[in-house]
Amino acid sequence: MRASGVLALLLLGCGLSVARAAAPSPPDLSGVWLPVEQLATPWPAKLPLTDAAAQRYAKFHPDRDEPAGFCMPLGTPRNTLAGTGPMEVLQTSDRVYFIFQPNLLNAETRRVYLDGRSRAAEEDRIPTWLGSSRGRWEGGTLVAETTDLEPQAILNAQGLSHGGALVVRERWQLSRDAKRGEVLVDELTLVDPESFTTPIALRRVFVRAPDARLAEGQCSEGLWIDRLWRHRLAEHAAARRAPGTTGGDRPADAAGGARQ
Amino acid sequence: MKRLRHPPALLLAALAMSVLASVQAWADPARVARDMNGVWLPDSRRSDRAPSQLPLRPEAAEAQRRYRETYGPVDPTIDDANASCITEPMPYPVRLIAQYPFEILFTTGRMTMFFEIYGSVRRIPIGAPPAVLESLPTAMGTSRGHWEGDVLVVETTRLRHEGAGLPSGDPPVSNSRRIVERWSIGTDEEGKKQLRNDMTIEDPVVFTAPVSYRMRYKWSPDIEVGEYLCQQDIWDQNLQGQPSAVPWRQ
Repeated sequence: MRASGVLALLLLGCGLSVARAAAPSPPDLSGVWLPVEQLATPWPAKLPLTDAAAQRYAKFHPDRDEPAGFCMPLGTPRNTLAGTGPMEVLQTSDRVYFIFQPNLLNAETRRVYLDGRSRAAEEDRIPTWLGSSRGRWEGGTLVAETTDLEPQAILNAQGLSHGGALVVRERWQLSRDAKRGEVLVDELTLVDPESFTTPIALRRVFVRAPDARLAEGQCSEGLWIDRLWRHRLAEHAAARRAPGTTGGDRPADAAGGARQ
Repeated sequence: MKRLRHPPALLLAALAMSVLASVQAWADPARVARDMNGVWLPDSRRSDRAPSQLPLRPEAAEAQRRYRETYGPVDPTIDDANASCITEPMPYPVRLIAQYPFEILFTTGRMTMFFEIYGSVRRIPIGAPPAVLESLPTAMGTSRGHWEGDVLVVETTRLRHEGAGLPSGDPPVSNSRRIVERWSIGTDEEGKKQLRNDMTIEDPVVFTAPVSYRMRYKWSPDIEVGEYLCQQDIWDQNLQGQPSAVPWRQ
């Protein structure tokens, strides 16, 4: 009885090992990647916009309506589509993280969970700039779906907008390019019936860049330095007008000057 | 054979050495890394506060006094870089008592920390050769880690000064600043999993002695690190045409 039990366990163990060996391990996407602009598909020349989306698009003014101009995130999927800088991928068995640190902007980390966790209940969902992503491996392809995206975000620098119901479907896989060797390809489909009459399909391609670094952006640095130094200049000017004063209380007009 | 003069002492020493060797053999950094993976919140009740008196060298104390005399009183609405959404440098995000979570993710040869505050990302290569110091100082600095038994020792240098130090009225920060953190896993007195960071800040140009903090964090598996939108109110003003609720941003 005991021997047969041990044998059964051994057989079970062998079966599990075979099963494990049969399942192909997913490819390793981790590392730093740079976008290849020449291999990216452009936005369609004629965008399939609904009337509401066309009206929003026509009204876009970059100085007023560009969130990045106010140090807000690019958001998903613009961070992936923009092609403005390196992307870092961190991968474990149950998650894949895509990290973007676009030039001078703050870091954005897209978390794609592969552990089968459920989405929040409809009434508990809060739109975010990076959205909520779930994914799974289909052979060598990472299939991801992102929802709950903040409609204040835009999709490109021309101000293409989307609604709160936007769904971003992505298929990430390693491929080879004759000239560049191994590349990481993201096939994206943007589905948003409120904004697009048909889904928009785009491709983005990245090449490995082990020496590239993601720089730490400080988006509001300019704003702060500008304010600090305007204040300091006003303070020094006030001090020159009133010789003999050595600091202490701030000149009344200095604070005002800082807020012009 | 010559009789040993202190057999009990020798025996004790041998025993101690074998215990030490076993502890080293039991050390399991991979298990500790798995335990550290995930989201943590500061355990404010069990963590140290910043000391009210820092051990300043006379030159540093004089620099701070002179700065305050020249520019004081410090007005946080103008002088505090953080009020303008400038990331406060390390060790701020790990020394924070406010309930902002951070996430630890171990991957091959690396620990990455994702802080909700300012959305900062901190990369810590483990066991890697010294980094080539060609980059400019940053808020997260340049870090390297190595395991000492079950303790991850992280050394951080090349920290930028902006966002800390004199403009905020704090003591100056020098290029010699070095932070050594000893990260480990334990349990609190209620038996809950606890992340520990015993941290020492060295800055021989500014401090006469290293400054130490003991930080503790609560395991928070039900929390996700959220988006930190520091400039949200400026963006809202823009969208709604309303003045900001924050007076100095109007």
